[in-house]
Amino acid sequence: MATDLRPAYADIDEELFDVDQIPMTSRDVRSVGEMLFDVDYLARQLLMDVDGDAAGTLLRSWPTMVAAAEDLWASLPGRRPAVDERDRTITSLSAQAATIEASLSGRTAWPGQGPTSPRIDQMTQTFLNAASLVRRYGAEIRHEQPDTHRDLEAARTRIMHGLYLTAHAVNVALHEHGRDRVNDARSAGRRIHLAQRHSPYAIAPTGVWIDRISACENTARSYLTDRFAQALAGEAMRPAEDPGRLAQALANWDIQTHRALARDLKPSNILLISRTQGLIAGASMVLVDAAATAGVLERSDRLVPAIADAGRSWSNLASRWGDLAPPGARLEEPLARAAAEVRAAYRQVTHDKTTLASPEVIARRPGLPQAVRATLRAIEAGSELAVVVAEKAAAPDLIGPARALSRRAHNDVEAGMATPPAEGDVVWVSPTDIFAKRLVPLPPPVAETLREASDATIDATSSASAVSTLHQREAMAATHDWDPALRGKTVPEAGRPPIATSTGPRR
Amino acid sequence: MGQTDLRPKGTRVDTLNADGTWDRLGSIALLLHQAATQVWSDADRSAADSPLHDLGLGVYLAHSQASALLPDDYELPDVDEDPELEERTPLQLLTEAEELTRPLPLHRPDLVHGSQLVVDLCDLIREARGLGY
Repeated sequence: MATDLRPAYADIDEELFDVDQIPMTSRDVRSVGEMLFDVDYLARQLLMDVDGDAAGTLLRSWPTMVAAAEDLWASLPGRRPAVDERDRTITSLSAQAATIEASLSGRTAWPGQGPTSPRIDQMTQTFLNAASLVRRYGAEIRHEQPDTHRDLEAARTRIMHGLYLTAHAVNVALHEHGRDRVNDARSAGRRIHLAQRHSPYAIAPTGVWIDRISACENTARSYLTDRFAQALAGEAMRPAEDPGRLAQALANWDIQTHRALARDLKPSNILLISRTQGLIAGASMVLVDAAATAGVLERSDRLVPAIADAGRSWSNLASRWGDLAPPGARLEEPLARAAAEVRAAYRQVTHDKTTLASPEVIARRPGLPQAVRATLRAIEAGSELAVVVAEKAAAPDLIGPARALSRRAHNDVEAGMATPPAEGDVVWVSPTDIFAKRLVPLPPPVAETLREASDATIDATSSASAVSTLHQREAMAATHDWDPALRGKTVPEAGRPPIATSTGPRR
Repeated sequence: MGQTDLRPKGTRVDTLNADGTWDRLGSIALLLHQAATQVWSDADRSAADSPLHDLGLGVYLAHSQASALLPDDYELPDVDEDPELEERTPLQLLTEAEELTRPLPLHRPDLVHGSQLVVDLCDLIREARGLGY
């Protein structure tokens, strides 16, 4: 595996971009394909390095880049004379960018007039060079041939891919810029009004730009993910600012985990379930802390430690299931989608893009009371899920990679976590199986500690569930007080009935 | 950064054919699986509300995205317990995975979700840097 794979970009150039098909100029020796790959490379670097300081320059550069991309798009041969469905996205994107440019023109308020981004300018120039090259030689291309048709589709995808990455980078920069402004204001002792949409840092004047760049990002993504029709109907994405998003994500997670666990489930999926439950516990601790700051919940000596114990037990259990989950294992798609949505929904409340927000900032989020209720309900439900997951640990036919199980067995016996064998040193997994990289049944110490970790998870989640039930009522009352629409109405008991801590046999 | 060729020995990667693409995706899945394992290992030594749990899940979901792009009958290259792989940091593993996505033919219908994988990897790299990796 080479570190710098940029030369490999050219390896998959297709006919349209082949240097034999389109002569190179003396000024720019790249083929069109290489130019598009360079745009991809620059957009990735931009996205990985982006920070809030660059927000203004990136925003000022964006409309020109889209115009250049549209120019290249229009130059590609084989365009149909009438309105072409496949051109609709770039046309829409171009219109969005043109209005951004008009708003920026002559503007004195942020971002004002100033420099543009060298990286985006380089991408813009590359698009223009590619358009010039295609216009000069494109007439010679037989676009009706299947190979060329495929190449043209590849070119459009690459153009839109570069725009998608760049729009996402501008969006990240705008959020980071807002965060920097909030932090600066706080350092200076100034009060600042946090935003109610997207993220608390989408403050004026960046909030409106986040709206507009988000629209561009969604447009470009819709082309790439083949969801164009849904995007036009306004159904492609759930609004990021929806305060009910976390509740819905967790409800769907509950459904998908039970559906999946009702079947014979591979360890990779149980790993995903356990890790996601660990994430739910960790994020719940963050939300409970913020809720206490906001006055939605009273500070409790029991709630956070109980959730922390549950989180640690899920993580310990997950690390053991991880031994049985090989790389490349397929996840149940609905389960993976539900886990991704849980992660995204929590991040909407607890994060600003990739950074964890402070409790004070989370405390001012408009959807906090609903989020706290939802997360406490998920903690409450966790104990029942732990029981179902524990049943999977008791399955007699579990197998895993020989080397990982040998190591785990040895470590667990060494650490005194598993019953030591009476006969002294025991080879738990045959060296032949390890050498041959076979899948083998769980050695007794591994089966024993997996069951014990499952039992410990049941215990920890039952305790967290019981405490969570008590606090959920408090959170519901707080929501009731916060939401004017609910005042004077009876709030029904939400979620499932509380689960009593079992004192009898677990399974 | 030490490099390991994750491809089966003696096999030349020909990116013009599908097998080159699948080997590439298979290597990406391996790297991301290792990265998730390492991040989670670090998370398990940290507090229950550590942001590393979130990063680990993000990396594992990216691993599942890459795995989902592979054909059902594809078998991953054999790199069981590659010591070099274990020596790399999660950031190095993520960076290598991102580099391997560059030549993917994203226009192909079976790789329609490849762009999202690229964006997610770039976000994860930035996030990993922010968390001190």
